[in-house]
Amino acid sequence: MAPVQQSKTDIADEYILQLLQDARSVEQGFRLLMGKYQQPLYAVIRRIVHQHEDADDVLQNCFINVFRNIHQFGGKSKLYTWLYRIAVNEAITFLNQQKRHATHSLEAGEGLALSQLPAGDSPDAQALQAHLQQAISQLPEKQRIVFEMRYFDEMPYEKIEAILHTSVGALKASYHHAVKKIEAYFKTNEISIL
Amino acid sequence: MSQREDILRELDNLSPTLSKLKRQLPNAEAPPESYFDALPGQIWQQLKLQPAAASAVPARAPWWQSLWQPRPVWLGAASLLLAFVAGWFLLRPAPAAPDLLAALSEEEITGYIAAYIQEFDTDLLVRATVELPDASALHVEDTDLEEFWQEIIHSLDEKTLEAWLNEG
Repeated sequence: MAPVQQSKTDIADEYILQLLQDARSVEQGFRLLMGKYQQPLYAVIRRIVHQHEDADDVLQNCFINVFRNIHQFGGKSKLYTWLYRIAVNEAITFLNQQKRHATHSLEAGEGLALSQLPAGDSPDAQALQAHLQQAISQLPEKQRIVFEMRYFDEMPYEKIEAILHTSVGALKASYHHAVKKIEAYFKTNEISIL
Repeated sequence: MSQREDILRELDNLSPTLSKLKRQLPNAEAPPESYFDALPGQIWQQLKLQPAAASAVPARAPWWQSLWQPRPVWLGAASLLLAFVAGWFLLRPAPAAPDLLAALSEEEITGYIAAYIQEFDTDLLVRATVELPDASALHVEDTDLEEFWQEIIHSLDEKTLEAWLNEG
């Protein structure tokens, strides 16, 4: 009987952590960790930094930091929450560095919003999505991250709190402000969703 | 009510317009093909090139090195103890010398002075004696006093003695 192939995402975090604790199995543990989490973390990072090349740099730094600090993971939160937090922090640090070097312009974000839209939708639907991305790109960084976590990833506030280390009250305020600003963008530009 | 329904209801309350918009992620999340196949090996190579930091397993330091590791709680307690001892030392009340003297009887004091009179500084003794309204209050024997004055007179040079006599 052929052995059942176990999916990378089915591998228990405890097992991966156990492998990472032992010098003889650390490489195997690291490869399993990456296999399980590289895609979701890439998606998180890519949404924040937009460009693939930037997301690649950030993701690599993220996993290097994860590997160096995995022994500090105390198990108080889920491993994914801990990884997600590192990924978001790395992405924000990257954006801040870009701002300091003045190479990250608003136009880059706008270009992405207008060009990288889901294929297959009607032109109207694509235009609406383009406007939504445009409105999101104009939000302040923190509001944008909170909005995307809530709107696209459908995260409960408690989980966002664990990732961003921000109180639920402050997160609700950020999300509400973000929604109102996006709504105002649609009204200002006389864009009808119906 | 499910978590998803909560989020949708919240969005609907905040912005009915936005809640009608179809939620879909832009295609920006799609990386180049086979990107994820190569990435683990690529990062592992980077980690191998940085051997100092390439260990997820924390190296166990010798036990004696732990003595020099910062211990916030211990350091805090030691600092507090040190501050307390230093404060006590600097701010402690001065020894109550006047009280000790007050506990001595007049006879004990005069007896002590008489017994150790040879050891007293003569100038200080002269000043103290002169300042006293009544030297006899010390109840020093006349012979001792005479002997003391003789010593003082002998210790004085001629000029000082002459000056004293002229003043007297």
